[in-house]
Amino acid sequence: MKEKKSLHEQYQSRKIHPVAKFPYRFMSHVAKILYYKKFDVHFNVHVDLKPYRDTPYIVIGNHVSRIDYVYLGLPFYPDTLNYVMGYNEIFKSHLNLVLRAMKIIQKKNFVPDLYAIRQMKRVLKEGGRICILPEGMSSISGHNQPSQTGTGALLKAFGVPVFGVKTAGGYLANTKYNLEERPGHVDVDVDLMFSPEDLKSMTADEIQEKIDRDLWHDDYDWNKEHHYRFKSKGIAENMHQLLYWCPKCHTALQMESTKDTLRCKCCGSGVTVDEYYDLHPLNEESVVPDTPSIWFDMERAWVKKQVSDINYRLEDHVRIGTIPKDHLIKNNQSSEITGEGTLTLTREGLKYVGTKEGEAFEFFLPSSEVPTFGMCNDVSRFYTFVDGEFIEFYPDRESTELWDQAVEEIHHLNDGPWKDFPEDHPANRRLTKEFLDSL
Amino acid sequence: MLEKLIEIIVANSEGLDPETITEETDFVSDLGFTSLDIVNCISEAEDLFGKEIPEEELEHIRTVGDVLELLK
Repeated sequence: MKEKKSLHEQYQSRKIHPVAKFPYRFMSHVAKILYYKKFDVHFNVHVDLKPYRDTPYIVIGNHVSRIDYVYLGLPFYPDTLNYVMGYNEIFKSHLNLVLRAMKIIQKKNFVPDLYAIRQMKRVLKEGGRICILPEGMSSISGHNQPSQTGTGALLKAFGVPVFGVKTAGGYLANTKYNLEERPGHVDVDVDLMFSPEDLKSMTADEIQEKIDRDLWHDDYDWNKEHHYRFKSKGIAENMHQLLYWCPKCHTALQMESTKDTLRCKCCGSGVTVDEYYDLHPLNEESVVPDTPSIWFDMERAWVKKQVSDINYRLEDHVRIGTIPKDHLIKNNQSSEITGEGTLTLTREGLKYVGTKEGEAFEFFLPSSEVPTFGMCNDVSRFYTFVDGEFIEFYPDRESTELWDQAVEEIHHLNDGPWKDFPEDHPANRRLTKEFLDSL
Repeated sequence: MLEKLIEIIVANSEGLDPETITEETDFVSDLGFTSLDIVNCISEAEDLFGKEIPEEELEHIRTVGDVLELLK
């Protein structure tokens, strides 16, 4: 008797074609009803899209939140888009039916994925359009991270027009550190980013660099200028998982957050956060970065300094989660716990020793193969792929963001293929020399 | 068959010496290929040999030999 295929095998054997118009348009209307008024979404289209209607093209955008897909489609309506999404999303029970009907292309982020590339090629060849978010993961900090390796080469090879969509306010409405929806204001700007002629005349590196510059955006900076209110029942709740480092005493993993307050348990320095995401000193001794995203950059600079030590070592006891073979994942979870063990990061790479599915399990990945970790839920867990399998880590300590920054900085330090923003990029001009010298 | 596949691989690269490519050659770690490079090679090989590699096999491809085996 033929063995039944696992869900993974079923979804990896699907041939993706351009999404059918009816389900796509139906879902577009549903998204409009559910989200546009609620989040006060405004569209600004700076290009005449009519000449491109019903022709193949690619839409790319900055990835501000997990619901970007509901913003990205409408400017191109009635054209349909096949969205390229994180591999694991289709295994969530509440999304499975919709994502299959929408013919999403599931992609294993940050690792080679021949399946996803072949589906993108097919959809464009058959006259469809695809939507790619080149950062590979929704923003952790409120600003972009560099686009994934090979994005420039991919767009150049496909050679069809590329539209850029820049979303502002989307992160503040759906932050990474707290899954609460916070209605405020969202601006979506659309323009032609590359014509086929541009792609032909530019090198892959030039294309990639232009993407990282043109799509660069910081939601906190943007709201300093616009001052929109984002309604929340606990604006700072869980913020300590993201801003885990104290800007005054430089201690890590000793921050705590309550409804509107973030403070260091070691030195007492802290902030209160209002519904405009402005930070206010908790007391006279508090050190207050300009914005949460500057704070994030400061702690990254501190991590960069830590990993420069050749003996750097980060270790945590973790539970690990995997994707079930025969059923979908319920309750908005991203994996099911199937083991536990010790996860260790050194300058050489990432090592796990423990169990999985009741058996001994271990692996080692050199740092060149782990550019970053994915976070497909909030900041309480992170994932990577091991021999193609999705493995999610749930650390006992609230240390996810430390793991993420450390693995990225070690990858850069070892000259891994995923490159940081160039030195003259706006992302690298945000910290003062005085602060950097103080580390 | 291997020779033809090596011709395709060389044509999809810049300055690769065909003599250095064997069945054990890893597309990513030995040749520095991106996923797109590999998919392009596979497409051309499929056309040439008149056989399509099923979608579910793609994630198992690491080496030149893996592609050969799937096209036999």
